[in-house]
Amino acid sequence: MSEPKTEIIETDLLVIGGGTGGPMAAIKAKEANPKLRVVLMEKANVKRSGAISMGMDGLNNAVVPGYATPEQYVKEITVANDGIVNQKAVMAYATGSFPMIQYLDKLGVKFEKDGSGEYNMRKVHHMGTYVLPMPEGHNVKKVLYRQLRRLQVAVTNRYMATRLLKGADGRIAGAVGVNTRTSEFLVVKAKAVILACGAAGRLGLPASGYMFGTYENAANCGDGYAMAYHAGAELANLECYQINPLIKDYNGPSCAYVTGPFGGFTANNKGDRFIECDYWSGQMMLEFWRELQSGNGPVYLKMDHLAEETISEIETILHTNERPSRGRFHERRGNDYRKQPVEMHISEIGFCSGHSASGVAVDEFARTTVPGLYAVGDMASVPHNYMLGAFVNGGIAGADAAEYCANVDLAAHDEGHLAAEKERVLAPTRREDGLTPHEMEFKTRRLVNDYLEPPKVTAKMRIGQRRFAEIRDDLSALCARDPHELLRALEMQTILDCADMAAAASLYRTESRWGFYHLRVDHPETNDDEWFCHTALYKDENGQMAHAKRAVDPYIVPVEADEMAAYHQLRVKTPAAAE
Amino acid sequence: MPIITHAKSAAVVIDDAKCIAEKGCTVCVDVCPLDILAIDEGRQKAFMKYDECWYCMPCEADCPTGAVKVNIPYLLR
Amino acid sequence: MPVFDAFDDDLDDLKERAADPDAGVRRVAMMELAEQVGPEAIVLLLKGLGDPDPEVRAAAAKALDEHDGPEVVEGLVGSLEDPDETVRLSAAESLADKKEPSCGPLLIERAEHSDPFVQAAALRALRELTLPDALAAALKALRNPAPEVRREGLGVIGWLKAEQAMPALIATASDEDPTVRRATMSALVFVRPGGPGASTLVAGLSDPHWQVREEAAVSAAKIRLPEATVALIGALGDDVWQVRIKAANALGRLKAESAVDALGPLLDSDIPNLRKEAAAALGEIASPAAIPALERAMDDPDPDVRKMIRWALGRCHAAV
Repeated sequence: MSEPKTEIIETDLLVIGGGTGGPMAAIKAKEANPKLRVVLMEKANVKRSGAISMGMDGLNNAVVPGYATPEQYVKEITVANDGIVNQKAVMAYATGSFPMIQYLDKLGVKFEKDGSGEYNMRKVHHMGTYVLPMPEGHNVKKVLYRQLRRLQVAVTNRYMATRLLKGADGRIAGAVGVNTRTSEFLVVKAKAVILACGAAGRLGLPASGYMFGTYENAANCGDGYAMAYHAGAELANLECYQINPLIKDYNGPSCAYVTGPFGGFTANNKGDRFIECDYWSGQMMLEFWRELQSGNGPVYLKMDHLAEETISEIETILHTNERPSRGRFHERRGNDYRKQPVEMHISEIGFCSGHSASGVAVDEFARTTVPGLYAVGDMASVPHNYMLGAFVNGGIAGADAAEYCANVDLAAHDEGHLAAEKERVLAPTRREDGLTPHEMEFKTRRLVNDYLEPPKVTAKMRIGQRRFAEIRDDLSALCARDPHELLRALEMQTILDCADMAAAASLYRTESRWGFYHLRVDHPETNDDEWFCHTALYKDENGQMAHAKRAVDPYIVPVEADEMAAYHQLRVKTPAAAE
Repeated sequence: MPIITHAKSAAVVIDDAKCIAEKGCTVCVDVCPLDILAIDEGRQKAFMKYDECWYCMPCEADCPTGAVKVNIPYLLR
Repeated sequence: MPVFDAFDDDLDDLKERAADPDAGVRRVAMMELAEQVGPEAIVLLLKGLGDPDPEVRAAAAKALDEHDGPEVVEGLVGSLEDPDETVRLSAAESLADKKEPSCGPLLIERAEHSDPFVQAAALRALRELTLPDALAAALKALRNPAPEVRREGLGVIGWLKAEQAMPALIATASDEDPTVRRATMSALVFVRPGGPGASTLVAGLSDPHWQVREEAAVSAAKIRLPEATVALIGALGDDVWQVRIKAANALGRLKAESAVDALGPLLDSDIPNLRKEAAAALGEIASPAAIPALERAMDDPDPDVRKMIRWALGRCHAAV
């Protein structure tokens, strides 16, 4: 490969990631200041990128007046996350939730409405009502793209951002991108950067062995976590993994929250319900895992008791939205919701605040600990945010960043750093032969399964760390023969960074918390005296991975001790030998 | 170490008779989030180039002529 | 490869391709025009709606989904009468996304078209606009022979919350088509307790089709219609459990103390979802009279039901 060209452009705001939160950040920044120069950098194509490439079948955290209050929502999220939350950030989401629904509605996103045009809210959570179905929600990306077009946001498709650039004073100065089809560099100098790169969904290896058969969009491999880490930002509570109950083998969501209001539920092999609530949480995953361990598995999503009319309605929703290929999967297997329940299993691990509580640490304005750097969506630390949270926090970040840009100059990046980064990126292209990105990724992810999955065992995680270090040594043999392989080679390095972070974060918190997500066999009890805090993981001045405890800010919505306990009423004690 | 290749089955299948890549259409290649589709330069038809499919289906849904079919990859079928 | 992909392609090149002798090339040009901004792209697409090749016309109709303005709507409305079905469907789909009140008159006119497809598409686009002027056309639609037109008419009326349409809604409540009757029950969600239409909703609870009864219970729950209480208690014994669930839910929302005795036995049902809904309703009603029945059911085999019973008992005890 001849030496790729480098193009340098200048903007006010750079948004990295064109899935859900990223486009909304760009839109709201542009609406706040139409003169603002906004660049949206996307690894794939904004039209169909990210977690919602095929739309979404419903909201499950809609805070709609008359059905739930922001205070009620904040309380529930606090309880569901064992109290370790930044309530101000959750409140910022909760108060922004309904205005965002109305905004999306105005843009043309279709939410279910009743016969008089009012939102058709459904109940799933046990305290408030937060589910708003979107049976025709397949056009979300189209609507976002249309709005980006109207506002003339500059879009660069097929550029993968690899590292953030910083000025001498520690402020953000832009980012380095590489074209995934030409390997040409694009350096974007920017006053502020919003990271919206999605989850780290390619961390564990799916049980099928198919590397791209992940729950998350497989393009979401954790680029944002790695970039934030290398830029010195703090990442919070990474030990609170994402683990989901999914359709076995297909490894995608069965959407119990869609089927729930229709009467579907999760059952064991006797056809009995065994969990209290089909709402995803670490506690629910623990109950799910125990049921599988107990011999009462397999675990199923049961719908065969429903009426024909109801099932065809469910099929229409599930097979046209979010993951429509699940219909094709069932068809090939001869699975019929009418006749037999759908076999479920537990997914591999990943990072994703959309469903758990980890991520790049942000405050209620989506600001990270690096000046001028923001993070939103699945990769930011606001818990249980889902799609609507990505939109709301994306919007918050966009508006805040627009204001920030008005008051600062462009920082000058370090040329030496840029040169070093280009060399790091291109290193795999300078080898004639060696190890392929696929095999190095496969091995990393296989080891993640072997050594990092809960129940977490200290000795195993330490072995995992040693094996990851060996893989890191092997990077000197990583070989990319064309731009596409270079993309995978860069992603593989991101995945290795995330694996190291998952192991280190899990070892740091010496207690068990968040149900199955952080179930440590050597420290089975929850220890509020020592660990009622966020954990921060960051790169220190010496380039080493470091940790710190960060206090939970005083609650703005008080939660009584008995309310916290009520949630755990069914908690079964950790077995002595979980292996 | 020298690099070797080994064969895989393609989950995404394109019906050449329906594909209009030769008219300038690149819709399926444009929308794929994993960038695994390409246009064959010689035949001027789309094809699955890399076995890295998330079976998400924009290629099939957005194809103007219904030429693309996404099958579930064999390992998880 | 240009750094910036979208929104700034060369329109001259597209213009040329849009006039290419090869229909396939014209079709791809129409698809790409979806990405463009500005009046020139719209002109080319509107021209495409008149292309001799139906696939080019369909691509133009689809691309116009991405463009705004009254001339776009006018063009799409014209394509509702295209000889080719794919073109008509693409036009209808694009039209349904538009929210341009200025297009009201045109859509209202088409709502009285001779082709039911055109009528239904026009009414669907009108629903979102909630224009009072559309009411007359919607009322007329209720007498249309095609059930999909009658359903779309009901949609317009419901979204308008048009009380003056009540006599017509009372009539469609006994429509021969159950999907129209169901849509009627859904539209009646704007009825006010004590207002006109309430008795129609109550009567819906004994419709021969279960989905109509279910929809009536859902609407009664939403508006907390007190005059439905007796009929809802009756619906707790419906043959179809889905109706029983919705009736229980409605009685909970109504906080109908008179339903406590009828809800209690549902805690023994074979269907866990129904037991759960009954417990939830008893919790909403929060009457001390429900305590014995709830206590008897405390050891329910289903954890979700048990949780609901605990919650309900807490509320009933608090009410003592």
